[in-house]
This record gives sequence, structure tokens and C-alpha cells, in this order.
Amino acid sequence: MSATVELHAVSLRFRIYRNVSPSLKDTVVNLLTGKRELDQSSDFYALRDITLELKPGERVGLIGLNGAGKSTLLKTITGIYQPHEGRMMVRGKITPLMELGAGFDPEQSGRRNIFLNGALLGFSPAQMKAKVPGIVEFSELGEHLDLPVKYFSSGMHQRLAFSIASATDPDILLIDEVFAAGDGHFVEKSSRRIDEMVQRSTILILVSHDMQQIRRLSNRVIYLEQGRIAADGEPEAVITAYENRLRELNRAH
Amino acid sequence: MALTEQRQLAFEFDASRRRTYADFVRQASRELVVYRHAIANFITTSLSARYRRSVLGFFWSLLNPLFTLAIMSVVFALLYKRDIRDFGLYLFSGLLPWNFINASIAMGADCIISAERYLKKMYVPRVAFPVVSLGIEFINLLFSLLSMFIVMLLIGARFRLTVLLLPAALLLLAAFLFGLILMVSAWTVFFRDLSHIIEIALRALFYVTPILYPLSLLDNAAISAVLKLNPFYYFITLSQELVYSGVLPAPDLWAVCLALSVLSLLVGTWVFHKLEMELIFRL
Repeated sequence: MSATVELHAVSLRFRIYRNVSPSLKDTVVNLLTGKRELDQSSDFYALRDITLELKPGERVGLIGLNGAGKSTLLKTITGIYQPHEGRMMVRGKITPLMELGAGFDPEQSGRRNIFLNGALLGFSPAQMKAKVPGIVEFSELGEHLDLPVKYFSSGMHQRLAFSIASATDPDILLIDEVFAAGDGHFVEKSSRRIDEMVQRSTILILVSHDMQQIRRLSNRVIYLEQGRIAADGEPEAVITAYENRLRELNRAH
Repeated sequence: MALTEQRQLAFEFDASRRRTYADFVRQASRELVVYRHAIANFITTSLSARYRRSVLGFFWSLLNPLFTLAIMSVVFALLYKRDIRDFGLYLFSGLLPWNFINASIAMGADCIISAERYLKKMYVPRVAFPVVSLGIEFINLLFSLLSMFIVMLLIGARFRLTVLLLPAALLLLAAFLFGLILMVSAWTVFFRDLSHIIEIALRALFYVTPILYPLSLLDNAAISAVLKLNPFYYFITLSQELVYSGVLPAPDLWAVCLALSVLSLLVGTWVFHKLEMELIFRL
């Protein structure tokens, strides 16, 4: 079964509540007094009418301004958010790497978190045990792995998260800005690892604001604007379109 | 909307198709199997963290309830002028299941909220967290039962043969609690102060359940009728009869407990099914 990601006219609404979780007390008081202000909410579309199809070997760079829907799109493909409109189909083992600390328990040691993270990705303790030496070696964290993850720097966090994610041999790898905290050495090493993974026909989706990195890792770029696909195609052409837009914005403000 | 095959290998989603209750139950049971390693990991991590925090480690889990019970046995046996050993066993048989009820509901109420870290970073079935809460407290219950049996041996209390039926009674109780946890775990996401209300309600229920006082204290028909409105009364009575009285509980009592468990599971899964999709947007 080859990995695929297909989205057809997918839209996702976020409802902005005045108060996300009102207290039961306030709700009862409001019901009694006839005030309705706590219920007030407004909808906005974080993703609107997204249609895309990804095939094995595609490494997609996802670019756009803050709030354009890049992370939301990754989270929707992961299954964290269910779209309110449209259809989607995902085939293949997904490993998401979202921001910092993809599903770590901060109180537990790095080593224990390898097993927790692995279990969340569907691996048994025995399967993870076999992967531990490789993860330890690639992360270069050494004895720091025995420390609770809450004492990790963001760079260490990212090293561990990426080492686990890449050891799980995913068909679909989703990366959200995780290289922001990495030192040059680790970013270089990770990029090589990603190259290897893509050779094995993995789909990669990478969110980044670093256009150098996008150029280096992607063979297709999607530019999101206000939840819609503004451009999709050749990396250079799409990056140019995005950079023109940035220049326009800078002139305006 | 439907999930096909194992969640971690493939899934499909169609927003125009409404997910039915049957879809939810099927999907949830399948996902609990797929995510069994993660569930086991959450349970063992939480238990070992709880015991590691204390100097005596694991032994505290045995000693702590024992000391509490010893103190209460002495106080209440003196108060009611009863034999300490006899009254101690009575207390034990009601208080251990009550602690299970109390702790699993309290933990279950917050389980989705405290899982935000995982739910927002990767796909984890929401239903896994109520299972984790129940699992942790069930294992704790087994530890305290173990210490109860050790004490029974030490003080030379009589073992009743009916104790062999205790596992069946506890499984019924666990099923009843699972339904409740499903409900409260989803509701607390919408109303964050619900966990405080639950805490107070449980404290009140504790005193209207005959745990600290013997049943014989209540020969007032009106009061007993009110007490029987409390669903926990039946589960606690079941345990007390099996462990303390040594009488075979009447079929009626089993039937009530079974009916309560089934009802709770049905309502709990239905509530969770209705609210589940909305949870992630409220965290």
C-alpha cells in the first residue's frame, strides 16, 4: 500500500467563544437572568476549500503568514481536527512532529518518553526496545536522556522528538517548525535523514518560515493565505509569489 | 464519517456523512485495541510516578490505607461500642470500593483536560483517557485489597467463602464507573468548574452511604428509602455482604447492580459520542 494524502474541498471552522469553557455557575446564572453574552461566538474558517493530493516521494513545503492555516492543515491531516466540510483520505503510517515536545510527559525521563511516544505511534514496548539504541545514538543526548524532559532545552527536546519520529519509519512525516530550535549540526544531520526517508517514498510535509530550508527540502511548495491555497507548484515559482506578497505587505506597513 | 482499518495505517473522513452511535462504539473499541500500548504506558507511568514519590515507595500504597483504616476502626468501634476487629472488617469492605469510586471519578473528570498536551500534538483516541483513569484506580484498588487480606490474616479475621465473588462485584462497579467517567470527562471540558461540584457531591454521597456506620443504625424506613436512591449504595452493599457478612447477596441486588452498570455504559458512551468531536475545539 503506497502512502497517499487526499483532501477534497476540506474546510475547518474554528469557533471563537467569548469564553471557551464557561463555568456551570455562570451558565446557570445566565439562564436565570436571561443574559446570553457567554454563549456569544463567532466562526472563522481556518481552512477553506482545500483540495490537494500528495503522492509518495513528494516533499511539500507549506508556507504562509502566521495564522494562514499551515499548522491547522497539518493537524487535520494527522486526524487531530476533523473537518467540518469536505472529504479526506489518508493512507500510510503518519508521524507528526508538532512544535515542541510531540506528546512527551515532562515529568518523565527522556528514555521513558521514547517508549511513551512510540506507544502513541502504535509501537509495542518490545518494538521500541529494538529502536532505542538508534534513537539514543542519533539524538546524541547521552546521559541527558535520564533527566526528566522538563529540564530539556528546546534544542534537546527537538533532537529527541526528531530522533524518535524518524526511527518509527513513517510513510507520512509531518514537521511543523521543529528545526527552529536546532543547532546547525543537528539540522544538517536531520536534513540528511529526511532525504533518506524520502528516498524510501515517504511523503513529507514541512511547515517553515525559513525559505532556504524549504528550497533545500521540498520539491513542491504550497502557499496558504487565510486558510485557502493561494499557490501550489514548483518551489521557486511559489516562493517568489510568497516573497512578492511579503514585500507588498512590508511596503504597506 | 468512518475510520477504515487500523487508525495508524489509514483513515477516511467524510464530513457529509453523520457518524452514528454504532459507528462510534465500533471505532472506539477498535481504537482501544490499536492504542493498547499507549494506554498501558500511561497507566504504568502514572502508577510508578505515584509510588516513586514516597520513600517507602510501593509499600506506602499498602500502608497508607491500612493506617487510615486502623485509625477509623478504633474511633468508630469505640463510638459504636463494637469489637474493633469486627468493625474494622466492616469498614474495610465498604471503604475500599468507595475509595475506588471517589478516586476514579475525580481523576476521570479531569482526564481529557489534562491530556491536552497529547491530544493537540498527535492523534490519540479521546476515549483512551477515561480508560486510563479507570485502569489506574482499579489497579490501586487491587493493591489496597491485597493489604486488606494481609490484615485479615494478621488479625485472624474469618475469611468468608463469598469473598470469591468479589471480583464479579468489582467488575460491575468498574463498568458502572466507566460510564460515569465518560460522561463527566466530556462535560468538564465544557464546564470547567464541574470537577469542584463533583468533588463536593461525592463527599456528600459518602455520608449517605452506609460505610462509616452500620446498616443496623438505620431502622427508620423513610431514611433507608432515601438512601436507596443513591446508586453507589447497591455496589457498596454488595461488597459488604461478600466480604463482611458472608451472606450470598440476593439475586435482586446483583440485578440492580447489573442494570445500573448497563445503563451507565449506555448513557456514558452516548454522551461521549455526542460531544467527542467538539472536545478538541474547547481545549
